[in-house]
Amino acid sequence: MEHNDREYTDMLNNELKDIEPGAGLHSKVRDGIAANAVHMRRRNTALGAVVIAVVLTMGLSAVTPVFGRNGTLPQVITAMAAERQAKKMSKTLGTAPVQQTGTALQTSVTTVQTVSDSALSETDGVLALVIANKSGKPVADVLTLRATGLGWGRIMAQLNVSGRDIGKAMSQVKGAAATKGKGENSKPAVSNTDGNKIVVNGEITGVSDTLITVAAKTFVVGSTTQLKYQGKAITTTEIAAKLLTGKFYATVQGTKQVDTSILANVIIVQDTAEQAKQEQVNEQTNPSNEQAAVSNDQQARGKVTVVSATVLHVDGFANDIILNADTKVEQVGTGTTNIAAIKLGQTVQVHVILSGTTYTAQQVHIEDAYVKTDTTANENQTTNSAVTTWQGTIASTTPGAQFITLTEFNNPTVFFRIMATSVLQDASHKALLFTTLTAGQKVTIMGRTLTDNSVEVVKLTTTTSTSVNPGKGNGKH
Amino acid sequence: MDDELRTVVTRVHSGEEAAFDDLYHLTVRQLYKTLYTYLMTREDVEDVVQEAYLKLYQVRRKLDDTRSVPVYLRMIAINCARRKFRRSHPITAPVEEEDDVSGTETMKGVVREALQKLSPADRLVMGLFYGDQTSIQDICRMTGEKEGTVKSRLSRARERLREVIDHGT
Repeated sequence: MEHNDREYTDMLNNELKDIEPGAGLHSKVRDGIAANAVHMRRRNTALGAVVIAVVLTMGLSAVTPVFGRNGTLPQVITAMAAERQAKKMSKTLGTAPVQQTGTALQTSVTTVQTVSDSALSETDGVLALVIANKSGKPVADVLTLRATGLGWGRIMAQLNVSGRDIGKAMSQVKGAAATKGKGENSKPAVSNTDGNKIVVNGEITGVSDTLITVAAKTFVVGSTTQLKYQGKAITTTEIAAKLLTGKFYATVQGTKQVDTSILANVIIVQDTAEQAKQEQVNEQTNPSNEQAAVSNDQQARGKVTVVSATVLHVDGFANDIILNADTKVEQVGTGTTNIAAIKLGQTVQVHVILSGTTYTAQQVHIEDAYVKTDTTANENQTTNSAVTTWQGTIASTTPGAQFITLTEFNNPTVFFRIMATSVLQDASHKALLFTTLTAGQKVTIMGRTLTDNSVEVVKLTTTTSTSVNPGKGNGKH
Repeated sequence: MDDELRTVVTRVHSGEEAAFDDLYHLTVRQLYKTLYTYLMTREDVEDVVQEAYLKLYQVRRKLDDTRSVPVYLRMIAINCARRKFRRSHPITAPVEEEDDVSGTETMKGVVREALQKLSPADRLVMGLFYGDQTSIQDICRMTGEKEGTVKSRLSRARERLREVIDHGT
């Protein structure tokens, strides 16, 4: 039997005729809508509160250093971007990214060395070099700011370096690395600021008391030459002894002499070739480039060995530096100060301008924090951290504990502690080992008195002169 | 009816709160029956009706085409019903037998038996076409199925219904 659509419709409607919505359904629908409205209102209120909180936080963080030493939110973001770029650059450059960055940015060797010697990672080192380069400030300023715990973004803001500047500098470094082929084989940072400076990295192939040969380049080891190994002084004899045990490498900074010999200013001995650079350098790409001045700016960093109103000599920098009225002096803890604030033994970073053969300090940054001298303190017991000078004769040395006593200060006994950072040298500024100190030697000691009345030696110089002022019982400031 | 619906929708659109109640009363009866052919229990139908009107309420300010409102409402309701069906019958949809849920009312008679032997999707198409007098095109819009599929479902449903009615099997 066939049925048409009408019949199906009737059948279905007939079956569903009793299916009607209950009377209470409308109330349920209304209740559901009301409950939903309340829920939505609460959700919107909560959401609004969150949005307001986020906006306020963002707004506040944009103008206030809510991130502490990392600065404001934009500074944090800038820092993250800069660090990411530096990290990427370090990866791209492969080995020795700091040195390669220094080369690309035509930074002086001293600057690169300063960064390398700092506790910064390779990535941070690259960033420090770039920021210093773009800000025109000495890298020591950057390192000092970083050492105080400031984030890179805040440092950049203080030195007026933008994220775009960093990007441009990174491109410059990348471009330089690309032209030298991958970066790994590129030459290390070279300072040729006065045309006479030479830096060589490579294997030590020979050493004597007066000569050292590194990467087929022979340097004269003079009385002013500083030899370092793992941050400590080392002698040529010790280098020779090490060579008997295997290969050693070195980075040598030297100065061409009139007789064409090269006097080594600094020799840094290293265990591996990774640490040293692979190639001889400073002939650079053009052998005649030794005479070409890249820049007249230099950075010198080290302890002050001589200072007067007009002359400054910094440990590790071979030349005298002229101080004049235009020289700006800054000190950690005080900010801008004057030449009189520069004291013996202080660690300083000097921005030097070479003019002819004269090195003039443009800016001196004293890294030792300023400490107000307590003038009421007992003259024999300086209880602050100001550097004091003692002169006298060694009474005893205690190698195990690394301290010495002086005959002039034996009653009561003052212990002069040799620290890892202490500089030991002879009258001609040649580095000494603690073990070479013997009783009876005349010495001049610069140091800081500690709370236990012992003295932390900043610098100890053996003197040949007997006309010392045998301990007036007090230090000379 | 159409004019009345158009007026109500206009009032709903303009934000008149009471107009939504009028819209409910104009549309709920037919929606209820359609959903019943699909779900076949009053409890489930009432849940779905609540959910469908809530969703319609949330978009009430956007309703401006009176002709599409009933279609749109049923589309919402069908989607809600499908979700509910999947939740309560996660593995396979019951085709042959419906659980006799206590407190629910089931259809009686031959037509009811025939409907229960159909798949829920076929029942839905049957309810929309013969119960609601919805066009094939609108059924396609509501269910998201192709015209051929809808027609096949209708044909299968008719055949099943005919067998049951004519032969009692």
